[in-house]
Amino acid sequence: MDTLSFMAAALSPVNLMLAIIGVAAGILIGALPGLSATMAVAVLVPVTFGMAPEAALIMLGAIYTGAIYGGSYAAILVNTPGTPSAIATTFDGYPMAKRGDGDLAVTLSTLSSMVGGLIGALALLTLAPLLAQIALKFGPVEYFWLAIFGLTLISALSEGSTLKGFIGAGLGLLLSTVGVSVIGADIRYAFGSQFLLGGVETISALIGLYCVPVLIDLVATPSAHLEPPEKGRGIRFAEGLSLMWRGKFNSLRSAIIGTAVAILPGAGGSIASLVSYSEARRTSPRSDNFGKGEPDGVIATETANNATVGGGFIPTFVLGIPGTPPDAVILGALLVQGFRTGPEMFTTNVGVTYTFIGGLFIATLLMLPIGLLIGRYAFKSIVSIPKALLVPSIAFMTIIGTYAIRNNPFDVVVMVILGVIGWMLSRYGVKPSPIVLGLILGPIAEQGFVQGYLMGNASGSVVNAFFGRPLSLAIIAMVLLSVLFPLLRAWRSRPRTPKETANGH
Amino acid sequence: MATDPQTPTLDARRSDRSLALVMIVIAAGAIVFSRDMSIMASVFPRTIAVLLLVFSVALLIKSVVAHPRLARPEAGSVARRLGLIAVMLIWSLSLKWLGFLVASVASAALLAGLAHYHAWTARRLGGYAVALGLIIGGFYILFAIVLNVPLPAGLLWRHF
Repeated sequence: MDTLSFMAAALSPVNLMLAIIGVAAGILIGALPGLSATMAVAVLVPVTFGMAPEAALIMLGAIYTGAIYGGSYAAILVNTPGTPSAIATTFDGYPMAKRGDGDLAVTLSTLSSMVGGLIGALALLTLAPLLAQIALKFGPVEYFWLAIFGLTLISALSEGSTLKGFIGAGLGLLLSTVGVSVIGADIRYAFGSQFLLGGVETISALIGLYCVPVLIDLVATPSAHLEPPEKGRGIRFAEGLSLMWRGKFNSLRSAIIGTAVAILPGAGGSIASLVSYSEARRTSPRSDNFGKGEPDGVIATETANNATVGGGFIPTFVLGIPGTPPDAVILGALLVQGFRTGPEMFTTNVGVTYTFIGGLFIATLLMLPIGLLIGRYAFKSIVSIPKALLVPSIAFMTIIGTYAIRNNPFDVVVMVILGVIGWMLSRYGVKPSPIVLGLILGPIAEQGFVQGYLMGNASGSVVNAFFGRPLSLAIIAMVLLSVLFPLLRAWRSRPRTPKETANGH
Repeated sequence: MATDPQTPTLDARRSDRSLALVMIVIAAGAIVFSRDMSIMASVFPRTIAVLLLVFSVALLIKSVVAHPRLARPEAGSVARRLGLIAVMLIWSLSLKWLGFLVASVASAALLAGLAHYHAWTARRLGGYAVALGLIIGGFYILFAIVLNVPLPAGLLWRHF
């Protein structure tokens, strides 16, 4: 009963207003390429310092939820993930928009984000203390295997040219090692340049690899960027609902994956959405349509990345370890408010915690009307903008967004160069996603690998360190499944020789 | 992504060979330049470089023994594509010297010209100029004033 009354406190007019402002601000910031959810929360944290703790947390949670969802707009409409967690949304969202279904993709993204957000918040409400204990059992070796599991998704993402997918991932992993090393602090591949000391900034690389190739191809032809939608069909809400109903298991599975990945400290929405996309593709009866505008692809990624919001708060509140990067910023805001995270959040400060969870539910529900309203105008305006305005506008946003990450003009140069390299490589069959995956997972894999190696050396058996723990073995089994399943499917669907066909009949 | 059976394809033997050779050079370079690093710092990049080398050699062999095909890249104007690359590179390199606003206005105008395929009329030119001015101005205010991002003012203008 107490829990309900604390949660109901989130319904006060001030808290509701803050949730609306937070969701709208988050959506707009998240939609801009280069401004991640982490930045959205970080930029607006100072606004909350003067507020009551509950109000501040509700607003930050709303900004975070809105920004993760807002990232899907740019992913769907201009093939540039507004936030890293929307990378996988480009795979099917952009092809949908290209064929004139951008309105449906935005509606699906809104519905999926709401479902994912609600399930994540429900997990935060019910499972927080229990799940946080499991996350604590993850050591460096498990993180290494988790990163390897993430890398095996390449085989699913680049089916048809798996070898080139692995080459792209290798290039991404090598790029992630530029600069000061994760362990040992050696300077690597900087070639005497002070600019390369800080390494290749992931978000700049991501903007370059995804956005610059689109710009290069946009100017090459006079044809329209996206197919215009048929007149008078609105936001296609009913169609979206029916597709959501058809993909209910996909949505549920993706929400569970999103919540589970977010509970692991450090792993964020990008990994959650990629894992759920891969699972959706693996299990779908329409798996061949993935990558060509399959609505289930958008449902999977957008449900998963919004589920990370609630999931990520579990280790943040219970252990004081941020589940996702924006949680780290919110953790800082909690400290400024005078709160210590840990069991106290569910004992002494239980009122604030449950009011915040109530606020998270409300913000997620508000995302539906606000998102559909903003999304409708976003799609209409992107479709009707002539190329002569669209190209310089997108280019300007990529430049200013990249610069703002570290206030460094060199990041902008790197972004453009990587974009040109990405465009050339994609003409040779190497797609940007494996490179980005390598860049994101590189530091996680390296840290886990080197720490595991050191632990193994100290205990006398490196093999035992990497293969001796039940959790590691469970992840290794997932790795094997992820690698072998596409190969098995390709083998089963191979063209049969006349002899085999004759034997078969 | 899987290649659609209906997608037009072309012979990828030469392009795969070029790709494999470039990647072999990159992987070999990564191994050579890792010699001066400590073991802790070099173990990961070296492992990755060896794997990249193996995959690239496999691609090279595949391009010799098999007949790989590749989705035909999107057709279109090569000159405009190169023009966009040149403008974006000059834009990124000139931010520090020309300042964010001057470099962005000049580059955005050039890109508008590159992406426009119809005849220019005074009305269209005026409309586009106002729209681009509003977009650039709006984002400049958002980042420089509201979000307090220190956008470069331009080293060139310091003496004026």
